[in-house]
Amino acid sequence: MEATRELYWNIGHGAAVLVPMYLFAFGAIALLVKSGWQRLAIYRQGKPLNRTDNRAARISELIKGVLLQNKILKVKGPGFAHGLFFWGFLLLFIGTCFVALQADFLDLLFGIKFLKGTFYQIFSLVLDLAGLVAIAMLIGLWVRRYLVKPAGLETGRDDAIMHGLLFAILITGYVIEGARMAVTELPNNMALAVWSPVGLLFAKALSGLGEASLRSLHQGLWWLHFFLVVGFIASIPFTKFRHIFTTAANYFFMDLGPKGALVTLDMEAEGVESFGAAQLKDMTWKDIFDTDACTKCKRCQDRCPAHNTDKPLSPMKIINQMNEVACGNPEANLVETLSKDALWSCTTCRACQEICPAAIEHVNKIVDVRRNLVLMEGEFPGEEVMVAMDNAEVNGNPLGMAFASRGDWAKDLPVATLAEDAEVDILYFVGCYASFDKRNIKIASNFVKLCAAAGVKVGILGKEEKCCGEPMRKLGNEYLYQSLANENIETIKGYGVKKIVTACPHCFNTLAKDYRDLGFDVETEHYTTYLNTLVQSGKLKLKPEAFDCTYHDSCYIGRYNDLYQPPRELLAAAGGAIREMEKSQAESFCCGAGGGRIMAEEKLGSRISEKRARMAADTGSALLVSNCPFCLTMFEDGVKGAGLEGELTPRDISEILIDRVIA
Amino acid sequence: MLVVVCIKQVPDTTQVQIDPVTNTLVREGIPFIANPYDTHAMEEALRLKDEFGLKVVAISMGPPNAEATLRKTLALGADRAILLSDRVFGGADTLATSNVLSAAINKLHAEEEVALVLCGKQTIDGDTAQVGPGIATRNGYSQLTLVDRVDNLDLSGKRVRVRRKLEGRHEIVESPLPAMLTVVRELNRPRYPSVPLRLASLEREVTVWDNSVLKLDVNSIGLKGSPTWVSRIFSPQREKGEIVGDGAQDPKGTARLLLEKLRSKDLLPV
Repeated sequence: MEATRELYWNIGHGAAVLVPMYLFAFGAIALLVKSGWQRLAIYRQGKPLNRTDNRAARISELIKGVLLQNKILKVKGPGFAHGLFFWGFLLLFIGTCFVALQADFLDLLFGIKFLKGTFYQIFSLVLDLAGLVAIAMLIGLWVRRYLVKPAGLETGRDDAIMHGLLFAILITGYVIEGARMAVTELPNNMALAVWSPVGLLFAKALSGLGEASLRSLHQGLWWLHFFLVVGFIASIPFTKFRHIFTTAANYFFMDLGPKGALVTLDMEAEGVESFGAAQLKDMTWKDIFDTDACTKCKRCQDRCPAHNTDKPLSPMKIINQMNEVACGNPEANLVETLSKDALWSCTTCRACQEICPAAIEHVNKIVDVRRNLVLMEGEFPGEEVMVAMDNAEVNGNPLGMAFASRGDWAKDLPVATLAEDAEVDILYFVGCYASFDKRNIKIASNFVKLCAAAGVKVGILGKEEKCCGEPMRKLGNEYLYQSLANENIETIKGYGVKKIVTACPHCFNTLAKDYRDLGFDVETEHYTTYLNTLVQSGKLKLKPEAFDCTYHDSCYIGRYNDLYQPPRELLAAAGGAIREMEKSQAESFCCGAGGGRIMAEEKLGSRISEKRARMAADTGSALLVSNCPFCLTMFEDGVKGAGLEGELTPRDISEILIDRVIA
Repeated sequence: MLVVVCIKQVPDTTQVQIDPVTNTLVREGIPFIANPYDTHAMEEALRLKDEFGLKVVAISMGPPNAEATLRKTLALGADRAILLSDRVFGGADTLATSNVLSAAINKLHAEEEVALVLCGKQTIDGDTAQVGPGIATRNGYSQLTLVDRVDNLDLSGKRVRVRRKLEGRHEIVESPLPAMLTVVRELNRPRYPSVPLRLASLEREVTVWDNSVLKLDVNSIGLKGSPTWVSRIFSPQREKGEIVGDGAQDPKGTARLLLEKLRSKDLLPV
């Protein structure tokens, strides 16, 4: 006997079944489509943005994000549970489609049956196991949500509906299968029954009921199961189930880079009277769509350095509040809704965006509202920030140092300004902190000395260099950023520079990526990758000396540019053994200085830098190595504030190298 | 009615050094800024504009490049900016400067009534604090210096009540309009210009009045009208300090030593 089963067994396959069944099914789908269509109006409140270009790359992101669940799996535990549940449920969905395809279409019209023989046996086994995996994962997720209750996880009506519906659908499926098998396979077709092991267990448990009871149980549950599925489809637009569509689509609409780029505002556009986002309509449709893709998984919040130091910012809350505005109160003022304290607390570290399994872009939204605060209202997080902005405008640096003294650190070093000698191998774009700040001047002089040892001729701009504008930009002052950037671009272009190296990740990211929008195309590298290349090629010779350290991935070298290995290779070449912090690489915890916060006092919550210093000390290493002037500045304070003086010493990577260089 | 703000463009003195050979200010590579006290005068004028609808006119006497500083006042919200610039105004001391500013204010007054003139308490380059009072004297305005709060402005009754910040005390004074106020930093926090106003300011005109407009006697202005002569500019050298006693080991004895020291230099009443 060929392995197969009678589809619609005990239900009947006449018009009395098919007509109501398909009416309800299509009714639910129609409701889904209609609600989805209506929801488009919410997204259309935003400004246009092209996110349908480069379809091949977008489809690839869609496949990776949805079918392969690649971002969800980044967090073990709930990530794997979701992934396995998704694959299980997907297989059951495909299996149901196969049944409908054969019974209601191919067999009905053409007499074609494919659910038979070996294929049917495998089909049965796969679906049977898929259901088991899905139920197991659902129970695991239920235990996590309702019993373990991880901090910050919001549980509401939607979660109860979703857990209840899915569990009921899966369980009724098994009982129906068990009842059917108890009547049809258990007595005389065990050879087929073993291909549905879970169904067989249910069949055995039910076998004492007698055929008549089994048949009525089967029929009743079959319709219940069907209506549960109809309810599931109909509930998609009204519950977090909508993420099945919105999150999936969000992968397609993903920002394809450059990573972390902000929109460069056209400050002189005709007829533009408002800058930044004051209301939802000032954002793009994608910003609104993002808010509908959020599943409140709180991964962003768990990683947010502001949230973790008791500041009133949660990236998830920002997105959810915006969603409430989009759906119910589109005229609302975003600053009032999101709160200034939350908006100013962001360090733009990108930890939220990097981990988000819904491909939501948090940082640009925060900067967009900040832009409105600064450009339209002249507001800043504090008086000290306004002073820093004025300083940058007058003296080209936020520290208020005389612009003419910018190159003074280099007086006794083997480096000239391009004004004196423009024939150089590289232009070292020093940045404000390494130019003026006592602690950070060491980085500048170390870098110049390391280059000299490698035979590289370095030039600087001296007093012609201005702040790259990054902190101003991230705080929302696009106007000042562009005026500083344009001055730098004009100066650098004037010297025909071929290659730039920066010691500051913020300068690096800005010159290498942000300046492109302003017509700048000089190759720019960060000193860790540049020096690493010199070491690996043998031009820069080091005498390795074993030491023990921990390494802090700065946000703008790490998450913004995915440069995790070059600094580690450099440390290894110098003899360093790294004890990694629990939060490292893409999970690195910001020092607190990003997003322009370097210019602002940290008045709310506890100090981010102290928290990070404690994480470093927890590795047991006495040396905290970083490669960013902002990080170094923060850690010098953080170590003191955390009472770790004498236990932990912050060092720039150049300080490690300079001790080991062979001149 | 007008509120006139007098602004001076000054070198950022935190960066100014004195050439030890020539005894003159080294101005090379030093950026110019609006005199910081004047920015508080400007802010107060803008607040009065917001509250009473006064028109804000910013005026400055200086070389042509002082236009940049005046343009910033337009970016902040000034209704009009006037640069008083002429070679014959050059080399002026505080007397000649107040002659020019007073004449300009009188000219404005002839067009529309001036309610208030606001100045910073002093400039950071000259530090004389004389120009504001000079204007008040010449124009017969009430003179209210060192204002740290404007309590009341009664435009119909033509009175203003302010608080003056004096050493160790405050003084609340009321006087008739028009009045000249010099202001201290505690008065307010200057605003940051919005981008639309800033962009618009780039298109707007900074009016230039030279002496053909003001028609002042050349003997009362510029170098000729300035009785002050600077003989020498220098940074006073601070003598090296001295550590008195050991405060950690012997706080009482050290305090006694310190008191003796101060008394011996006549710095404490015995």
